Amino acid sequence: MMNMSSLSKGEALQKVSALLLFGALISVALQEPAWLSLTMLASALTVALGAMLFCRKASQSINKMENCIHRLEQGDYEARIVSINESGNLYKLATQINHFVDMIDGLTREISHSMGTVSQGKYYRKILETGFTGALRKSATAINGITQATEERIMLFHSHANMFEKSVKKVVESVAMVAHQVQGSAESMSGNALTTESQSNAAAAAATEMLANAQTVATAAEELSASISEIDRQVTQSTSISKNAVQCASGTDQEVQELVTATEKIGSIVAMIGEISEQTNLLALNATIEAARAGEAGKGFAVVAGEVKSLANQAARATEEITEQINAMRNVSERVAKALKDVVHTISESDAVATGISSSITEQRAATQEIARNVQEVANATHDVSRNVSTVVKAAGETKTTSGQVLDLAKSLSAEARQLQSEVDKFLVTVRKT
Amino acid sequence: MIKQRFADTVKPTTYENVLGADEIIVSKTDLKGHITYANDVFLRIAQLSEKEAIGSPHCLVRHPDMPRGIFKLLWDTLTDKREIFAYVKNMAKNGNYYWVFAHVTPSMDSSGTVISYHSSRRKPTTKQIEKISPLYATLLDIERKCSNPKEAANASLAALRNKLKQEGCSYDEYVFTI
Repeated sequence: MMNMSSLSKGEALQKVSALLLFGALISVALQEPAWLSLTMLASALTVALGAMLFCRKASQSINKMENCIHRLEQGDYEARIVSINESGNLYKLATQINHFVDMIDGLTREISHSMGTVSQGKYYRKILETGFTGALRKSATAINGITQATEERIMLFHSHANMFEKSVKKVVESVAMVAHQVQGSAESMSGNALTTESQSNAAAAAATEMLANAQTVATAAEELSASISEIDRQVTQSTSISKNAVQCASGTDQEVQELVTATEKIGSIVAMIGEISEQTNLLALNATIEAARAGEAGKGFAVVAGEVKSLANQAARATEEITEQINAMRNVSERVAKALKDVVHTISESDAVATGISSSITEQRAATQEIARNVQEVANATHDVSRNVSTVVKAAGETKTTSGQVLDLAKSLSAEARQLQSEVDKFLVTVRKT
Repeated sequence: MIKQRFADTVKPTTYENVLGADEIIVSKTDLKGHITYANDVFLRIAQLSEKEAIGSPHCLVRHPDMPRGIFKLLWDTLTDKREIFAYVKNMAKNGNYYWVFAHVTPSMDSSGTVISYHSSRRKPTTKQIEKISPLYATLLDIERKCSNPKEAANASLAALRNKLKQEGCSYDEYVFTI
């Protein structure tokens, strides 16, 4: 009786009440003593009242359950059957309903919190499967399986993202490095091009100056050549003059010899004249002596003899003077002859020198021509240099332009690499949030 | 309805009230922590009648081996409208103990207002109990050095947070990984 619900108790009491009522009716029919019938009737009524009370309690409990189920229908899983103070089947029913709701309520909370955590990108919060049975357990297991699979896929995705990041980073880094290097090279190339250009310009200026110098040298060489020709001509003339001088000198020598010979002849004539004048003097002396003997008669004669003597003396003196003059003349002639020999000798030496000069001049001419040829070669080479320098200048200019373009490209490549890195970072941040 | 904690009237025993591996203790409380529903497993394990349970404070079953910091964390988390898991050593009416892996969630109405708390408790594994027990002992040691309960709860919770920070994981992850 204690383990019965109010409903079972009510039912039992109803049965008892019916039995008592039936007993009372039997008792009346069998004409049993009236007290018995009355007692039975009263008992039946009392039991029926008890049954009514139990039924009312049962009804209240069932109402509570009904209310609870109604709330559950509305989705209110807070609803439970509490304090019904029942036992037996109604208690069991209430407990089973509560247990059922606990399962639904519990699983709902588990799912909601587990999925809430998953939505934050965390997968450790699995549904606790313990305590759930049957289809609920199956659902919990299935959802946990999905969470697990999602986590694995996300992990795989993250690992791919990491690998992607790593490789892209590597690529971007090497692109950035290459761009940096290219930038550096381009800058250095540009600098070199500028230097080359400026040096080439300087070289071009130097070449132009060199060309001008070469032309000056060429002019000078020409002048030198002309001058050498003039010298040559003059030397040749000088040689011919020397030859003439030698010839003249030789001629003069002969004439001087002839002069000497003539002088010798004059000398001998003068000696003869001297003898004549002595003899004359002697004759005059004799005449004077004779005139003196002749006395008076000889006085005139004596005068003539005196005159003759004076003449003879004058002649003797003249002869002496002539002799002196001839001697002087001889000396002069000898000196002239000697001088002429010296002149010839000198001319010969001069001729030798002239010949030497002539040969030197030939050498000088050759040297001058060599100079002129070299200068021409220098001029040609300078032309070549000039042309090449122009090419270099042009090339340097092109290099400058190209390196400028390369620099721009390198800079833009650097920027692109940075942009790529930033985009990749942004992309990865975004995808990793998912 | 019982107003005093069991720990205030009986001494803890070394006996365990065994919770089945597939059983769940379910209870609900109002916002003040008074029991509004207790399932039959709860009543059996805590050795309570429904009449005794309904209206009693849930801390009725609190065991003296439990650090206050854990309950502070529990209430802080619930106030923040979040679920919380905790390994809890509870005490039955006769002083016996039972370990549970408690999951407490706030129940909210359609407008998001917290209207009650729901707790499901499952049997933790021996390994989990072996791992959490020394931590609780450490926290309890910290609490014993404090002058009042509030300070004790704050100190041990701070120590717990510090430990988690050192291990580099959240409390939720920690309780799920041990």
